[in-house]
Amino acid sequence: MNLAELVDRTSVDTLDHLERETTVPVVDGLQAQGDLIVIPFSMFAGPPEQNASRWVPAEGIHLVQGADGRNPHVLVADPGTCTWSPAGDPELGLGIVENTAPVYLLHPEHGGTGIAPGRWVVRQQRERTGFVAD
Amino acid sequence: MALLYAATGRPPPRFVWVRSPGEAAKVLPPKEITRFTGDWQSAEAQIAALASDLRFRLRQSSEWKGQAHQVAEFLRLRIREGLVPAVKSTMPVSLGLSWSGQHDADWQAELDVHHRVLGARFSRHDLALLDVWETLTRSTGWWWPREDVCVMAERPVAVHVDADSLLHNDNGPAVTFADGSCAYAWHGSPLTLAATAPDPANPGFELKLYDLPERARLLTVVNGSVERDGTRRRYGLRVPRWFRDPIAAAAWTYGLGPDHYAQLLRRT
Repeated sequence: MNLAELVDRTSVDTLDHLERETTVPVVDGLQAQGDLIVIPFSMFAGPPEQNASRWVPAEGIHLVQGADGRNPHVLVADPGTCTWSPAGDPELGLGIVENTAPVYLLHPEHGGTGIAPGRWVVRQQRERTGFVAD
Repeated sequence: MALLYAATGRPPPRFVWVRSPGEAAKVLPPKEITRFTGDWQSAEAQIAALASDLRFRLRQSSEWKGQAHQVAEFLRLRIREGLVPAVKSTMPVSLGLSWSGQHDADWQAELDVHHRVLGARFSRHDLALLDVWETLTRSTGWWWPREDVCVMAERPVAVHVDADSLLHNDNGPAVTFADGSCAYAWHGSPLTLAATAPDPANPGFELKLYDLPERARLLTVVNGSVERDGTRRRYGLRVPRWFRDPIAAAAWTYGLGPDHYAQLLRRT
């Protein structure tokens, strides 16, 4: 998977200086995309409560809208390979990703990053006064 | 400067030039300024009296609100609350009464607006004295008048501000002097560097932890992805003030412990 393909699949475009043709790396472990962090489920003593999960559609799910609806983080997966379960409490995490094949996070400024098959908690970076709008 | 000394009945002083306010501490003895117990007849006390009397008289002769007040507030926020404390932080000790040269522009600008724009009537004597102060502001950095010597610091070689003209630099010191002494600031707030650590999640870049004026600390982190111009943006995150370790503070922003943060494999 490369950035150009991710852009094609979603309605989200990325800044033109980001390399479109190189393969997006798939990471099997803790990783961050800007203000979003993907944490292996196993790192949690008490994982967040989760609501009902749903399949990630072909065009992806916007996990975080970003300020003014711009700069969303979009979860992209092949149909039938990934579920998304929003967490009950945003303080603990945005939700849980469960995937049987590599899935991707796409962001206009940060580009793309791959998540290896597994179970992951997605959480947003915080500041003393609240969450970071990035 | 000779005119100011003359106004206190003194001959012109000898001038000693230094590259920065920090360097002035090498030629002047430390002196407490908060409790002024010094000699009220000293050169610096009499120059201070000249300035405060002038400001008092000029303030008496005009209406003190509206346009001039807005100009003064704009400058005060940027100079008196941003640049001045930042420059002070570059000095190892307090040297007693001093003036800030170009950074005295705020109060003089306010008087100037009254005079030139709002048509306030000031006496010839006061206008001449205001002109002396304005000349110093246009031509000097910080200065320390003493009995027979006046120590003059060169102006900074670099000052960085944000889009609102507030003292700020994402990538380094916001004020730098020729001798390398410098100060950091974040959108107008002077910062004291408390600790640095290599960012385990972004090799080659440092996490930096600064003290903020308001009972918090600021963690600055270099972005994982490059900007359009090829540089990487450094951004600031407020963290609770009890953090001493930049890595623990960075971990906290993601709700992790420091050990887990160090395992971060990729950050874009």
